[in-house]
Amino acid sequence: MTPTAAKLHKAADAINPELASPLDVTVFVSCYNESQYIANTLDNVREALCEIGTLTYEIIIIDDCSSDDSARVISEYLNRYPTERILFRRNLVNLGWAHNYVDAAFLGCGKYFRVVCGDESEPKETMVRVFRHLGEADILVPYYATTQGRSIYRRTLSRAYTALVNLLSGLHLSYYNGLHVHLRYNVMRWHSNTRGFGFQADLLCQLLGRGFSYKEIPVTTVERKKGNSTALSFRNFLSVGHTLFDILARRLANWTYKKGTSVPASTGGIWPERHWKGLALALAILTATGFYGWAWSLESAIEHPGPGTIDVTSASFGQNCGAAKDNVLDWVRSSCDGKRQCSFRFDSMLLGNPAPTCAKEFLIQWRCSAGGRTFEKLRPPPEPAQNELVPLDCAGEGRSVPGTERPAK
Amino acid sequence: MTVFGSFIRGVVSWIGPGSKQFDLIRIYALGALIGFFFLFFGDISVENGAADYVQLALAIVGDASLKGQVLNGGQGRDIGMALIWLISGYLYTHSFIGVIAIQVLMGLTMPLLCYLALRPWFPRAAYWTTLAGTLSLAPILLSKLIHHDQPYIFFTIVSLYVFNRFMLTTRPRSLYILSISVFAVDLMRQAGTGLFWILLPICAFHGGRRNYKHITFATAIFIGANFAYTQYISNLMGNTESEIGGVTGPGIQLFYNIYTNSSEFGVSLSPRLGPSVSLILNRLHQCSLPSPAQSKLLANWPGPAQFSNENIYRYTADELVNKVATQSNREYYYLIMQCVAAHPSELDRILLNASLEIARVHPLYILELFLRNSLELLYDPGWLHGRFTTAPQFQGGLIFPFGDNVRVEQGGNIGDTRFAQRALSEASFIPLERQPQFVADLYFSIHQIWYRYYHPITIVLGCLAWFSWFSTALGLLQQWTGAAWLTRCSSRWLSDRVIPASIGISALLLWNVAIVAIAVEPLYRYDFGLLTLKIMLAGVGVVVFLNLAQRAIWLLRMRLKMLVHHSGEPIKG
Repeated sequence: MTPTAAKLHKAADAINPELASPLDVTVFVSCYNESQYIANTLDNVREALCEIGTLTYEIIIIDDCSSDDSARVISEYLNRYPTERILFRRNLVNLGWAHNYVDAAFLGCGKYFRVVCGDESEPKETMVRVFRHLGEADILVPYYATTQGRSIYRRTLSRAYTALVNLLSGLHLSYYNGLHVHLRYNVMRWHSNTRGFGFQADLLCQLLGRGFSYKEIPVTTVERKKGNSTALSFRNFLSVGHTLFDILARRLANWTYKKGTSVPASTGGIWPERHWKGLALALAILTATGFYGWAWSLESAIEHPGPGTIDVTSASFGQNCGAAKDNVLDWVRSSCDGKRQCSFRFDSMLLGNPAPTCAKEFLIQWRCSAGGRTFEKLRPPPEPAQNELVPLDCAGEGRSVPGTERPAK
Repeated sequence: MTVFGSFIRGVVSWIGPGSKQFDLIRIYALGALIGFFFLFFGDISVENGAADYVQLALAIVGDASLKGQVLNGGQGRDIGMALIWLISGYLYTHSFIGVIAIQVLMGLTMPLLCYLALRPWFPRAAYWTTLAGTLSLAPILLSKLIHHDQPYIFFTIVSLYVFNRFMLTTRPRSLYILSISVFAVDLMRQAGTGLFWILLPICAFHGGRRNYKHITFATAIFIGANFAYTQYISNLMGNTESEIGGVTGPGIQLFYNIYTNSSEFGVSLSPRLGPSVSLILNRLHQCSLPSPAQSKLLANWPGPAQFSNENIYRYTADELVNKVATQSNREYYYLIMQCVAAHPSELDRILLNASLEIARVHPLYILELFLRNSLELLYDPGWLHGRFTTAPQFQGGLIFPFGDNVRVEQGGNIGDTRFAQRALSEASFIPLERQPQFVADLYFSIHQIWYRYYHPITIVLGCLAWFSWFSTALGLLQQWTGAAWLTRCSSRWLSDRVIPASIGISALLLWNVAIVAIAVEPLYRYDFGLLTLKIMLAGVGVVVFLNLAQRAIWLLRMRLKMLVHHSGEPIKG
């Protein structure tokens, strides 16, 4: 940069903008008609951060146009703790949680950023547990290890939502609606455009898709202390649907254009190791093609036998001793059909012994596919020895039977 | 040197163990390369009695009745393979393509399961062992054999994978999947029933108290499924209450081995062994009257007339009974089958009782027979009693399953002609005949290498398995006694990792060996089925061996250094 620009900027900040943050963490406390709980929530946040002890922090409270006296309670709190870094903003119109979330990130100056609900729903211990992992990854993703206190309906809905987001995003996270910790810069740079409750999932999927590291942290369940959640309203369903669509669209776009990741999705290893998914897909396609090719080649070979191959038309053993004609046709045919030459092994165990005391003849008649010639092989008595080879071929060894020659098909 | 080192590192990174996904892809790629080579160029083999399963499949869909039919010489068939025939669409296509595609897919999946089963404890050894297993052709060796062997091996490997998952995680889910997968093995062959009771105590011991409830449920699932299956197959076969409930005739199966080997161990049949043996000899005598040559039941004995004349027809009834009692062989076994009872269930009951009577009087003979067959299957397989000969057990029949001696021999690849003509045409087609010479050369080179090294490799695998077994024994002894010296020993023998990785493999291998040893002969076909397990066990054995060798070399070097030090020479290096 030029010396003039250097008066305003630092080179390090241009490369890693989040380094410019003077504090460790910005905690955003959202407030909407929480006059009963907001003071306790703020106490919890302060106590949790004090318990960690090593973190520098600030608290940003945004009152989203509450109709109760939340603003008064917060003002009194600020007056009570003048030495704490607490910033309070009151909206004149209701903007929504997602909007305030991003606004708070812009107002703050911590490296990391976390939201805490103003309804005192999160115990101090949970906050401590999450803050202890600060710095271990770009994103901390709390999830509920136990589901005590939650109705089956809420649990089912929550699991279905998580499964759906996992399916659409291709990720494998345990929970998307926990109160995540992000790099504050990421919240500003990659903030979600949605207004509904799906913004956390949207932001998380976007950041993970860009290769930011994350760590999942098991925490205990927290439940609202008052009233019913508005998360299940029809309006929110629409909004969440929109978010899910965005997640899917982004995934498809990333896949199509092969870009969008500022950090490599996976590092280390040689080329095929890094692109194992593509290789697996290629192998699956090759396998399917291989099976199809084999089946096709086998069926073609059966339906169109090559030139000069054997077609056994008759095979009888002991017909001169009263045995049925073609009593061994299946055996000889299964052994020799379709081959250019074949040495049929005489096996009395397979062929049976139709008349033990009679000297049996072993008659085989076959046709060659090339030239339409029909050969006949007649083996005179006595019957062949066990394992004796009876040769069949289409090279003219057989005796041509006059009058049986037929044109080729 | 740097360039050379970089080259070596490059080669190792391509062929050496890497991430799990990359390993799986390379193993699959190698397996697919080999699998498709033999799919395209190998012969289809149809085992004798394979069409029984098609009959079962037809009976399942209600297109045929099995009432009064005798499958597999009265020993029956299990339903698993029939279900695969149904899935393959054979009843509509009349083609082997579907069933072979399924079997080849099983062959391609098996190495992946083997790798995943071993990886948690021995990541690098899992990779090399699986590659070796794939190169040995073990997973796809029986994939073009039309019989129940390939699905049986596949579901055995699936059970092993699930069992090892349980050893790793002790999650109840694995227990339930295990009971289902072992039931699938059971559907392929009745041997699976026993397998569950071998694996269950290990799971109970390893899973701890918190899994007892799940073990009980998993057992209940297995027993319930087996009970339902027995009822179903009984109805399908049209059996009555008094007849055998299942499909397998244990008496027919057991008596074969006990009788055909008896004269080799100096045991002969005599009425004093018990009432059932006496009944057998009596019925054989009645069957041979007025003389074997004139007997209606023994007339037209299949096979060469020379053998029948010399070993059956030239004797009187008394002489023939004496010969059967003292010179056991496979043909005389069929004589007994022919004469003792017409109905398979009665025959099975008599032969089972006769087997128990022989075992009661000659327990050492049974033990010796069992041990001999077990050792043969583990180290020197391929022993059998031939047909139309009175010779004792001999070694033979090592046939490359993809078609030995193509162009010259015939008939070896089709042992059952009861299939549709289209399917038989597929089986009689020899693909290699139409290939360029280099393909045929490659095929026969692989064939020759396989044939030449089959036995040496089997012996080596058997020896390496002992490292795993010794390590397991040390570890278990250490857990039992808690002795300090055993702790040191088991640590050197890697027992803490060898036990969970190999106990399932050992259980499956030894169970199958025991079943074969007691019920059938140690044929190559059964050994092909156990080859994958043998290789896995040997892979673990190699790790133990290398660890011991590494330590021995280290100790030797230390000793040498100390010797040099004491002799006053300066230590170099």
